[in-house]
Amino acid sequence: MSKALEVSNLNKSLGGFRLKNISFSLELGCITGFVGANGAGKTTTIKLLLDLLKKDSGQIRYFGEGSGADLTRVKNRLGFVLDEGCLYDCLTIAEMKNLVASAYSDWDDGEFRKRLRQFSLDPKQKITTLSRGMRTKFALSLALSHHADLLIMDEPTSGLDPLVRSELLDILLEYMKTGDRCVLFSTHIVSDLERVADALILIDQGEIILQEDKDALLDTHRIVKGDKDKLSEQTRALFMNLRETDYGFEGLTDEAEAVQKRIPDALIEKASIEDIFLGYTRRRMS
Amino acid sequence: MNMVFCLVKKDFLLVRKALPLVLAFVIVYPIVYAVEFEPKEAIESMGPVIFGPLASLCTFMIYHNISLEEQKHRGTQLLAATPYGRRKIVIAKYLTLLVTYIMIATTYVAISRLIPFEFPRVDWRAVSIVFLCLSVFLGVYLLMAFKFGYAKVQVVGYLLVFATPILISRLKRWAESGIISLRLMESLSTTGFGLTALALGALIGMISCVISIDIFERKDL
Amino acid sequence: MRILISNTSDRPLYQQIKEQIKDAILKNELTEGDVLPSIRNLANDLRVSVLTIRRVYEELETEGFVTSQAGRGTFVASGNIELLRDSKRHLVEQRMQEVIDTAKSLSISKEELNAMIDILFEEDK
Repeated sequence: MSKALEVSNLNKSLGGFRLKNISFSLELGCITGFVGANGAGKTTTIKLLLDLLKKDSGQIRYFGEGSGADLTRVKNRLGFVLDEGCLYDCLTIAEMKNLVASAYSDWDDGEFRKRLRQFSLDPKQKITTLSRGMRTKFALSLALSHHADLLIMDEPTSGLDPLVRSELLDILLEYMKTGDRCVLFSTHIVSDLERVADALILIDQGEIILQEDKDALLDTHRIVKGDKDKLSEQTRALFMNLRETDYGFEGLTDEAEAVQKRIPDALIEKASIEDIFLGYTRRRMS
Repeated sequence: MNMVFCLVKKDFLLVRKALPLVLAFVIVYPIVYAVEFEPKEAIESMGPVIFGPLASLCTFMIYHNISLEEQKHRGTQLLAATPYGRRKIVIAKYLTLLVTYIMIATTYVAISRLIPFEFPRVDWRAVSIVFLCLSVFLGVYLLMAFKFGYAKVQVVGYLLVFATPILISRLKRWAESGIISLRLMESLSTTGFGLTALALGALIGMISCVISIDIFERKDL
Repeated sequence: MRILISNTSDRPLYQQIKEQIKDAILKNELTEGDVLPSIRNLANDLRVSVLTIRRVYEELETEGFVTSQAGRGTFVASGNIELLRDSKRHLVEQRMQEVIDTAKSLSISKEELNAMIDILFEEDK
């Protein structure tokens, strides 16, 4: 399976923050969730991908092309939604659209009008009058109207009510139905990932700590609960993190069989994405 | 070229409220001046003294307004991530200012032609000399704005704006008292000097633009 | 075709799905030449990752149950004897599983069950 994007050993210092040797790749046909706490480096990474920040070192390769590939050609195949929208508030939807449309060689106005109808947006409306959800929908309409092969979104669902969020996720799934497309979206809302993501990239303090197929992650990780007395030096090593109380312990493991053997009476349950997310970040904290 | 045109159009859409006001000011200010000023026979020669600071201030105000809007909505980020690319964004900014100055100068010259009574009139030579001055000033200012971001150079801009009225009155007093010889100014406004100023202004603008592109291409947005 | 995913099962998702598609083929719910849903559609409907479905289809293909044609989709493979034999075998296995489950619930031991099968086998002759 070919890659839509390959990032290797990407470094960037920005103020006091440092992105350290980031490497990951996006497979065609997949929705990849980019997860991390606030300030973990999601936006910085995405800005580097979109050429808004200049990397200190490393490689970003789009669509299997060399790193010296023509940036304009790459950008024509790229759709994006930035965190704060970055739309000119005093323009109308139609004016903003005209501005963005003339940048793309393959702009599809029919597609755009279809989206506006779908989202019940009026082209004459001023952007400043749009609600947060409508802004995101408009930004998404702009991103989806030039036949982009790769869609990159920074926190598209944050600040949206559950209904609009779910609508947005449905649009992503629908977008993926045509051809070999690819989506990368950052979020800290775990339920978004549970619903639509195929693969996950977990970033923490400027480092990628996990990149994995979501279902494989769910299949291999387990939450274990049991008696605290059963924990030993050896068994502790099997857990990503451990929460111990007077009544027992609870921890995340990817070696459920080994745990079962050592602590036969432990309760072993499936882990959620949230458990895994917290497990990996906490492990690094301790 | 069409892309650059769209970017220029965007700039004017951002200031569509301020632009008519500024143009109205360009019309009203010299008229008020012409009506108020005594002695009437000196008015005609005051053209460059009125037009220069007025046109500079107004061009700057438009630029300032556009930059404020850009800064508020961070639209440049969005545009830089599209195939527009940063080079076109910079070129468009310079073109916007050129078009702004042309609009202001045209308005002023048109008014000069239409007003039947004594008026601080200017001809194209004065327009080109002011163009040269503005080109030097904005050439440096834009460079700094692209390098450090508009927010940081804004302070300098404010100082200049506050200084303009003082500058105008000072220029006027000098002109009236003959410290700046009006004849000298007249001798400066020969065709040859006008053309040279125009060419020099354009050249400085282009050099500034090329350096700005280089700066902006490497900048973190 | 019916595919149910159990969240309490310890078996990996891809195995659960694969087994159920296999069952459908073996039970003739899906017949030769039938087209399987696209990877993306099936993933969306089952709310699992496309990577999971991709793996399922790839494994079904290596096991000879389906063939995939680039750009056209994934089809149930044309029946071969091997597959058929396999399918019959599978049916037997399934029945036996039921028998074992019932036996277990009645605490019939493995030896007893083997003896019962032996007797039934003999009687048939």
